[in-house]
Amino acid sequence: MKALVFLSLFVAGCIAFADAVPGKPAPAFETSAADGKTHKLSDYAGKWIVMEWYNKDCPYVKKHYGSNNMQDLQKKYTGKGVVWLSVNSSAEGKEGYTDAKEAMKVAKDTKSNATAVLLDPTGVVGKAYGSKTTPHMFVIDPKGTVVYAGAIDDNNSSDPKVIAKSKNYVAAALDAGMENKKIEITSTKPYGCGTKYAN
Amino acid sequence: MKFVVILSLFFAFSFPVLAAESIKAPHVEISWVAPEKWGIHSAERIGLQFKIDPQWHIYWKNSGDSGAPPKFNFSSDKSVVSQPQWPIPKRIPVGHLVNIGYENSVLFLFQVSPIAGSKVLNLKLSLEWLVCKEECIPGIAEMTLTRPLVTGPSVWIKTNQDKIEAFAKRIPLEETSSWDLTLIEKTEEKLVVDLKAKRDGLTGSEAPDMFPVDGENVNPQAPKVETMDGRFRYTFALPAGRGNPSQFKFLITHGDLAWERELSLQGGAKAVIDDDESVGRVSLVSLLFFAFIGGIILNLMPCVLPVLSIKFLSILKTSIADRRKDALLYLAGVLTTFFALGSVFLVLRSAGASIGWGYQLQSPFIILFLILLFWLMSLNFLGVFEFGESITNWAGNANSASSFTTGILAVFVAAPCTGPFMGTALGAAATLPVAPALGIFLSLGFGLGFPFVLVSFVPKLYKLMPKPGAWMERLKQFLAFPLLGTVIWLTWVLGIQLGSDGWLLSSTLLLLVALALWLGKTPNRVVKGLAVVLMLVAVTAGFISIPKVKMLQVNASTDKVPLSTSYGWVPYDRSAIDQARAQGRSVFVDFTAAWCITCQLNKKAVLEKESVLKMFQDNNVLIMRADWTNQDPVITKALAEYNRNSVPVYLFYDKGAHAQILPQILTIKMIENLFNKKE
Repeated sequence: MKALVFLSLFVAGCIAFADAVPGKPAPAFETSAADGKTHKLSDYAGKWIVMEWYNKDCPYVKKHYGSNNMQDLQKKYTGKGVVWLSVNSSAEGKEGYTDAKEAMKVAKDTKSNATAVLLDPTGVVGKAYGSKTTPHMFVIDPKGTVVYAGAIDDNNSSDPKVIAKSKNYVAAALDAGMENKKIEITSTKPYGCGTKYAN
Repeated sequence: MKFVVILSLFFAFSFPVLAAESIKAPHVEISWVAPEKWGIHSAERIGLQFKIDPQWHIYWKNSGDSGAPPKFNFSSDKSVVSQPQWPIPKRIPVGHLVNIGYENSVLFLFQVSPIAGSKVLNLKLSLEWLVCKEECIPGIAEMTLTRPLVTGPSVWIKTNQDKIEAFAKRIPLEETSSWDLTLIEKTEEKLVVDLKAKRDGLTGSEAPDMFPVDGENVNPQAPKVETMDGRFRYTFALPAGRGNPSQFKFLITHGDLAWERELSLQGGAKAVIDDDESVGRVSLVSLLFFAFIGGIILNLMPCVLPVLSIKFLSILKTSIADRRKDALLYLAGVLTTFFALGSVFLVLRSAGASIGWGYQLQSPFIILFLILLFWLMSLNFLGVFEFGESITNWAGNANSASSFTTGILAVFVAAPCTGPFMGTALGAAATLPVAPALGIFLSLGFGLGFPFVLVSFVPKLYKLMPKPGAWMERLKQFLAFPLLGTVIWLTWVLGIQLGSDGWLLSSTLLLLVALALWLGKTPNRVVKGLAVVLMLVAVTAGFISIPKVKMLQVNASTDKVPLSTSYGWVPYDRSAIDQARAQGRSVFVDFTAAWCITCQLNKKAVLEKESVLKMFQDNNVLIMRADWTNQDPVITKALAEYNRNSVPVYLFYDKGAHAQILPQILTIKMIENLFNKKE
């Protein structure tokens, strides 16, 4: 019995360490998306990937969508062959939850340029990556290694006016990484609303 | 157009406000707490008050996992405004996250002084804040504060002044004479620091709380706190991959008082094995060496020797190549098991569980399992039963799988016999970082496996061994007896854990198992089947009834054998120690467990000898027994204070002076010396 407890604690310990950490392989996932298809990490092997944790009702997400900052980033980098995945980990009944149909509508209304909007109401993908906030950004290189994890930029204000003066970490990571240069900042503290997992 | 969209979107989620002295916004009310009239030469401390709806919160300067601190942007050419002063925050769990902030009501304080020549004090503040429950609502406001400047002192409303004072107490103190903050260890995952009060009367035994000021480099979760002799040890979790900051800054809080301390990482990091009184500073190399020697000594322990002897007899017959292969497999089994036990131990340690070495033996399930195992082995050694894939095979005969399992078995049976050299090493393993700690476990394993491997690999040594022959059967039978002895001892341990019913339970189980084995010797298939059923039922029933027996024992705890109270020994009680020492009495503490052989030997040979007890009595020593037979966090914590987590530990508090730890093998002479020294 005690041995069982030890074992489960041990396993729990291992899971807790499974966050997406710069320098480590990105956690694999398989989940449905707003487009009705199933998306896997392995579908995009060999490509640069951005994972963007998304919650349509979070003021900090609105900061970047309302100002078109996020859409512009999506457009610029998907244009360079980057796969951009917005992930919604809001559980049903929580702020920002959408079903596939509504997610499609929101994506259309906000003119999102993301490759896909992944739906993760169980929080499995979010927890595998250790997503704490929306937005929480992860950049994955073509080898499947996490090269950046953290905030979208260096200003945690909710005021969209500050965006112009902010340093965008995701753009910096992609620009450097895609030119085979060293990525200077690989990990920052994410800011925003807490990811709305089920209780 | 785009601008209008942004603007309307923005205002949709932020409350539109005009410049004002007070503001009502969703879930917060914000207002100034300031003097009514401002003395023209007065520097005043004013407050910006947030009244927050129940269950909502705003943030400290490090907001924790999510959220954001309020931002204050003053613009005023007629006055000088200080940086915000942040009162003591609290940790607020939100779902799976930890925020650091404030609930109900808080005042952020500012030191403000008017510039000479002004007639009116006019403050303008661009304020931005975030108020959250689970969802968050940001706000932006322009706030103003206008006060006439008057000659003479400022005029305050009393209640406002009280409010300022209440929160002023809760901002960090300027002085640096209270605490020493030292770095103990920093790894990728954690930061360990020690906090020591520089003067008396700062705290009682209660540990201050600590908050990381810098959220980038330290996780906001409450640190693990250990109370040590005169200091507190904090273990913070660090976020992955954030590089190497050159310094950390912490807020230290105790009650209403707070301090901020910086911790520089230059040249401070070291692995610490700090045991001022007894062991002194022991290098990792010597710890590994002790562990290795301890492992070798384990081979001679009564619980291990029979298993190994049988194994050894079996390989005497095999070719040299097989022998070497077996020896290595055996070593692999030992190391794997130590590695596994060590890993579980470290995982539990990192999960904050209070456990120590020997923890496996604190479970009656494992004790009953060992009893059964030793019983079956001894019956097998005696020839009561033999079948193809018998226990002997499992424990002894030469085949690859069994050599590996012998290794596993050896570690399991060795655990209760933790030898004198292992206490220091295992204690250190409990405080060391992961890699060196596992190193110690593996060294122990190497020690345990070493003699066996040595004999198998060095032909000269091997030639000294007697030739195989009929004597081997006799020896095997003889070795059943130490095993039976172990059964008696473990039954006794179970009896202490479960009360006398535990003894009845195990004995009945052993009887039924023996009966089943005897029944199974018949050629009759029906009876054989019956024997198997009997065996299964007996074993299952035995294990299932443990929790029930345990419950009974809890209900009737007065029936428990008063292990601790015999011969004037009293149970462990920290406050009694402090009290006795305050009265100028010496205190002797025996950290022991029924499953610890060394402890039992010391008890019988020294601690319960009449002459020793008389010495204790003559010197008015309070003798205390900390019984660790069952899991007991209080005792585990007490052991940890002395960097130990295995028993035995013998602790002697001299009158007034510090504690002294005695060696793990006691002699009467040592006890005499405790008292002779003083004269």
